[in-house]
Amino acid sequence: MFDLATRRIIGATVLMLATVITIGMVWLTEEQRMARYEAIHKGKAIENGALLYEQYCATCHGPNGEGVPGKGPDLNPGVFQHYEELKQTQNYANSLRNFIKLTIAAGRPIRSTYRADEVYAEPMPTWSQDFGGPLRPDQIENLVEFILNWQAAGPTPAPTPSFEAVGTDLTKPLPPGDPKRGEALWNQEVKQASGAAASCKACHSLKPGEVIVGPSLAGIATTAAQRIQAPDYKGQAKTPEEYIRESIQQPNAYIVEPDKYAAAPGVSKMPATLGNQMSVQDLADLIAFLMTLK
Amino acid sequence: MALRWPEPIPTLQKEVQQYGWRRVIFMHLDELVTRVTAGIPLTEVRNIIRGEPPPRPNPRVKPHTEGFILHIKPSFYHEAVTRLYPTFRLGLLSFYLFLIETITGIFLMIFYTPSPLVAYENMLRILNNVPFGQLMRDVHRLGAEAMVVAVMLHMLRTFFTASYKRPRQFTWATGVILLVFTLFLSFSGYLLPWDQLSYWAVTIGTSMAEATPPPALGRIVNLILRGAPDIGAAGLLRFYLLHVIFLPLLLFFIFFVHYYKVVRHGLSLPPEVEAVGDDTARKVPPEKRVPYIPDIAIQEALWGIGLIAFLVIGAAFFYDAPLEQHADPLNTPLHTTAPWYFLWLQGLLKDPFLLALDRLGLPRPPSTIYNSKMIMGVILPGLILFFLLIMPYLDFNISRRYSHRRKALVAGLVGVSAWTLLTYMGTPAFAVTSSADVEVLQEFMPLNPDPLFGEGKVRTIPYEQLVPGTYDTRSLQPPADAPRLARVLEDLKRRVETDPHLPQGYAIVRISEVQAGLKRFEITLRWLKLDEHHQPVRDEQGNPVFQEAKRAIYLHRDSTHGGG
Ligand code: HEM
Repeated sequence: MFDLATRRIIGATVLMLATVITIGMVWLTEEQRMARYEAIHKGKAIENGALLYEQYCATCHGPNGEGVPGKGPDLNPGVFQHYEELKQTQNYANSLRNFIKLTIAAGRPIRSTYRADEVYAEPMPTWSQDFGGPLRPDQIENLVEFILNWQAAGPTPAPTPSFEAVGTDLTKPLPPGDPKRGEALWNQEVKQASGAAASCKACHSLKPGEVIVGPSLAGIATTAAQRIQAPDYKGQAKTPEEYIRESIQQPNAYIVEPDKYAAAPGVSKMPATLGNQMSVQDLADLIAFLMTLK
Repeated sequence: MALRWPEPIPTLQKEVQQYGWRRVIFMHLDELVTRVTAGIPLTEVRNIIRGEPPPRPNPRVKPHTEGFILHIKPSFYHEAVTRLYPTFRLGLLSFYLFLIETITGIFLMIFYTPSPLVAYENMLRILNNVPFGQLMRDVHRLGAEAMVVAVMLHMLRTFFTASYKRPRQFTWATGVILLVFTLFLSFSGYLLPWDQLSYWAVTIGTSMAEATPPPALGRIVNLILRGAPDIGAAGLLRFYLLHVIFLPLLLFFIFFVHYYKVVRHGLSLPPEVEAVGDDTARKVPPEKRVPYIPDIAIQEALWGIGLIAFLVIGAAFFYDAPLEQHADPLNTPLHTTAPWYFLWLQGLLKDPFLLALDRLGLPRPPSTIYNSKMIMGVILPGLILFFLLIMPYLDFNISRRYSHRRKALVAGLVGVSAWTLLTYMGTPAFAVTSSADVEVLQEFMPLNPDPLFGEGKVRTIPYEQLVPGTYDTRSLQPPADAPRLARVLEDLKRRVETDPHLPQGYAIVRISEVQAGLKRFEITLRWLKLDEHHQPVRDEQGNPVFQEAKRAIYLHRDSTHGGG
């Protein structure tokens, strides 16, 4: 049909056009492509961060960042709150990302004011290789992405203080308790007024004699009655109910077997902040449930 | 006809007065073209385009004598070597690929720093923040693979067409050196992304150097190569310098030695057109001559255009250079492999000799006498290389005819088959011994992309189909609206129930949502623990004891998993 030279010219033209069109297409979609790649990579960074968190962080801060009493504070929403607090009260001027990154990389060699009323067995160690820790800089970055994602990924329900927490006040009158709901609270099937699950069972077993962090609560109704009779008891409780209430709201009032259950002299391993999560109803229900454990 | 300048040199105004402006423009254009082409005037360019024969004396040979770039090219080819056979243009393509690699490589260099602290981050930056970054990277990588293929095929063709024979033995020998440089050029580039893939492939590759005898020398070679006992900052810098300066410069230099010899002896004619023992490549009768300009030049330009189209379209639509997780010296991926062109070495290291002894039920020789890594990893490859270098000098069969070279051709085919077989043996599909539970976990959710299983089956499940819950393969009830999840769970069930090394095996899968857009996927494998007599081990109550293996990964909505 065409002679060789013409066929070559046609072929070369087609190939060059195809190349130019391809480059043009790449050009036009380049912005989206780069944005998409960035999103993909961020997703992967979060995945990596989650694995690292599970491996290195969860033992002290809880698998979901809820904190572990005696070991480490909650991160979700703790870090975000702490950061806001620092910004407002101390003019802290760094970004949230850097705040988290610095804490992970260099640790917290000295106790901050955050959750000041809680006691932790050890300070937060350094994690970055830059400071003698085990993790590479890119791993620290991944962890930061994962932690930021608690907030960035949307509704980490902001703690709504629309309920009245019982705190450490032992005088607030309690409504009648519902042992059924108390049990559901214990089993974390329903949430406390703060929206967080009750963390009791993280440290207390209901099996007789089993010690997780604190003593087993099997038969606590009976034990409580004995405790208030004990010669060294220096709390104010007159009844088993009051004793349980006191133990929850003011764990330091009386520490059973201090060498076992105190984190420091006079300071129980049990956090003194549990009351901040509960309404009077939550507390009453929990007490009612525990009173069924004869 | 070239125009001559009137003397003395006139002003532009005088010129125009004398000749008219059209003619003056033409004269100046002609001058420009003649200079740029080192001797072809504009009128001749027009003749070329019209397909007219050259005048005498022929100005079209001027660029070969006057110009630098073409002075190494012959001004005409024998008509018998201008078709696809016998050269298949593989040497030309190899050289083109080298040029393309140089250009795309310099582009990538702009954005890359050879330090473990930032190298991987630089790669990410190239992919998500540099316009055309991904295209350039993909072309560079695809080009590198293509160059290795082209050079290997080029070697095979010169072997099969017997072009290595007298007088071209030295051309062949320089070619072997070029092959080695090409392989190492590609290999040294492999490390630079500093991801798991590159780190471990290069670790495997360089571990052979350590086996160089005697042991003291092996240690030194290893140290020189890696800059430290293990690959780290020093090793990366060394590989970078090898990749961007040392090897390309050497390759470029040796290439010109190679090509000078090619031109000096002339491209060998197809074996069947010459009398046995003749070499008439340089004695081309006038009627067989095909001038370089324009015929061959146009052909070569066409091949170049085709090659660029192949690379650009291939990289844009069909090929993505891999980038895995950041390199982690503490975490060896399960099925680590060398790059494909070194798989044959990995196959050798699995030691076919010892495997054969095992097969025959014969005892293995003690390693003091037979050091497998040294012999298979260093000495044998060294001998093969040496043999390739001197092979043409050992070939006393003067005939290039295929029918006279039965033994050589068979030997060539045997060599290619052995290479293919060893390459297969190098893959993890062959004789890799890790425990059955690890293999199952690897197949379903490898921590790094696996040469056999890719990203694993779990990552093919679309994010929405990862329905949180607990699934037990003994009583599977996957949710109805998650067909892909159901498929994977069925596969897992079949896999653990049929594996002979997992007696009474079953799996429990837990999927949970950890954060918005992030899910955790955990597989727990349980199987009966057997004692050395293959009887179930029992606890005090007499219940059979189960062994357990567990692995969890996280899946984010935005990462490409789920067939994205
Ligand atoms: C970077 C690698 C290489 C480049 C760029 C290269 C380039 C070339 C070129 C352009 C030619 C002209 C003929 C043709 O295209 O076939 C050629 C010929 C030749 N090459 Fe290579 N080559 C390379 C590697 C090798 C290797 C690995 C071998 C063999 C071990 C080899 C052996 C030969 C021989 C024997 C010829 C002469 C062929 C003939 O006269 O027909 N070259 N090479």
